[in-house]
Amino acid sequence: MGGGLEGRVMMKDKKSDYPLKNNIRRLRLDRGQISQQQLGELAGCTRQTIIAIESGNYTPSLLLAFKIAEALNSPIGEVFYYENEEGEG
Amino acid sequence: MNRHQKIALFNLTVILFTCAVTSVTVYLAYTKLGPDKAQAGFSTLAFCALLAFGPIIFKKKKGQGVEVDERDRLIHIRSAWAGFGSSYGYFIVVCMGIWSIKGHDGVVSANILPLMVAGGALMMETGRSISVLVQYGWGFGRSGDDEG
Repeated sequence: MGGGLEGRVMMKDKKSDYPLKNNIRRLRLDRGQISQQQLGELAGCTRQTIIAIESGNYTPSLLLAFKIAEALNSPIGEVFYYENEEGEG
Repeated sequence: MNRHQKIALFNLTVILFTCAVTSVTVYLAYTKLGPDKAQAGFSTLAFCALLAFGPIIFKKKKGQGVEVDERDRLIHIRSAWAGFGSSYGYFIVVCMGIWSIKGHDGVVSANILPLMVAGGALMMETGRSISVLVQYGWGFGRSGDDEG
């Protein structure tokens, strides 16, 4: 259903359901104060989506994750990282 | 608040307004004209036509970055399911309610049918709009929203 949504990572309601963490906010500020709007335009998504990802309310697709990493000029492993239930990365 | 949230909020406002006006007109028709003419009060459901103006009032802004992305599409799909679920639940309640009240050999007016359809459409749009607003976080007081 819905072209392009196959393999899409889920969007849940509880932050605790998201094992995927990110350093987007820190990297934005490190990379010359890139605004959420600018990052959204570079990555091809809306500012609201960047906000949702930063705050842990939305887990992006792999494609968008790569685009965000590319926009931040960082390897994807530096932008996103997995944290298991024990809090280990 | 983005365009989709504004349209959803507009739709909910129109639906609430329509339901309120229809309740009043049906009550007045019932008390003034009698039970036989009370259904005339449902004509104010035509206010639902205002729903068509939502996308016109809140037009797409051209050339201002990305308008729709994967999260928006996901929200739209989930909202559509919520809308269909709401209307399905509504039809179950109404149909089973009528059946349980009237009994297996009961008779209802054929005028009930278009009203049921109108109610189902309203439920679908209500469920869809609420789902859009819930998934976008209602658009108020967003944490992490640090610059315009």
